Amino acid sequence: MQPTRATNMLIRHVSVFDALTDREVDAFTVFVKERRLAVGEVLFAEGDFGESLFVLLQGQIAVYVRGPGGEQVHLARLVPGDIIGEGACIDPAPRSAATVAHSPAVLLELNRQSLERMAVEQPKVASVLLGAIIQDLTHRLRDVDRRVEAALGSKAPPPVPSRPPAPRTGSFDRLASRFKVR
Amino acid sequence: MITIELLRQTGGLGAFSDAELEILLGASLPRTFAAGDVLCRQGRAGTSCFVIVSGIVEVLKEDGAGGHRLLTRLSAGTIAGQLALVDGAPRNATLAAHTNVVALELTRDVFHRLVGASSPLAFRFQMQIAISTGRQLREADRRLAKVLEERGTHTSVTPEVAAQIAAVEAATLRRLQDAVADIDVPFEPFDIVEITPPERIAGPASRPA
Repeated sequence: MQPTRATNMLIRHVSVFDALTDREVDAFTVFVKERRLAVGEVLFAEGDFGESLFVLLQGQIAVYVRGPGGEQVHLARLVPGDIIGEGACIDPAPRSAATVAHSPAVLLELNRQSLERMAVEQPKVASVLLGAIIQDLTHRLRDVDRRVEAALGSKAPPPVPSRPPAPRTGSFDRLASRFKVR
Repeated sequence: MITIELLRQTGGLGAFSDAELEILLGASLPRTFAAGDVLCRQGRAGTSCFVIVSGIVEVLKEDGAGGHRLLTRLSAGTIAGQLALVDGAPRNATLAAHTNVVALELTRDVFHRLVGASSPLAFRFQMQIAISTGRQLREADRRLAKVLEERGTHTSVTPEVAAQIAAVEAATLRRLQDAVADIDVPFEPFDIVEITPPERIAGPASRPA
């Protein structure tokens, strides 16, 4: 993939709240609940029930999926700006992966009812959030497909990719400051 | 001829109102494909996506040697071929009709107008795209975990993290068991319990026509 396209995708991917005005960022905070995790704390386990999605404001979260042989395989590392657990929120199903804090983490939790309410009361905010979720899912699906191809084609252990921390946008900073995150 | 009634039957579009389905129908092109037909090809630019109305679509990854691997099969109600419209990158995979397929084709322009609006229809359309993409991602994650585990090339979890995950899984199981135990279902035996042998319903298989 050409670097320019990859870079574009990355920027579009991380700037979740870029398209929102300050007022809309504030409106978003009405629908969410803050969660803090210590190192090693599990946000949710694979197979868990839950219909919340999370926006990671600070810290690192690791994603594990149980392989067919029963081993926990480390699939991804998430960084601030990433959306977590949106699969079970938009499409009720058991959690498809386990997520564990690798550093102290601050997250915003949005449950299914709040998302539905947001779609009615703040349609633009909900639309921007869903747009970001779609970008995120698309990016990850392509990434996972590429890694499957790479793993099939080579014997070398592929590194677990980690995106560089999201470039801070004014909107993200505003959101973070509302929750007293540096 | 694709009608609102047919769209209703696809199952995946249950959240849409009739008026919204009408708009979707009016904004898209009805397409039919015979088994084996290609809907779109890996590596090409994406100019449209599809809402599968009936039939099964295969997602194929070309292996560079003229062959391909089957990634997954998509059924009615699924949105297919949307990745290239979302990020503008070339097609990730080839879509081919496994059976006869009826689909609605949405051009890039219509897709972006639907996704970009902040109307109830746009919200449901976005949800549908997110659901379709999310399900494909779930399967892709499984494939990756399987490949990495089989080759022994994965980064394994530390014992501490494994213990944490196991503890949460056990807690979930306990909650589930408690919830099941809490459901107080009075046992009322049926007066008559008769299991009808299948041939009494379908008729003897050997009966001449």
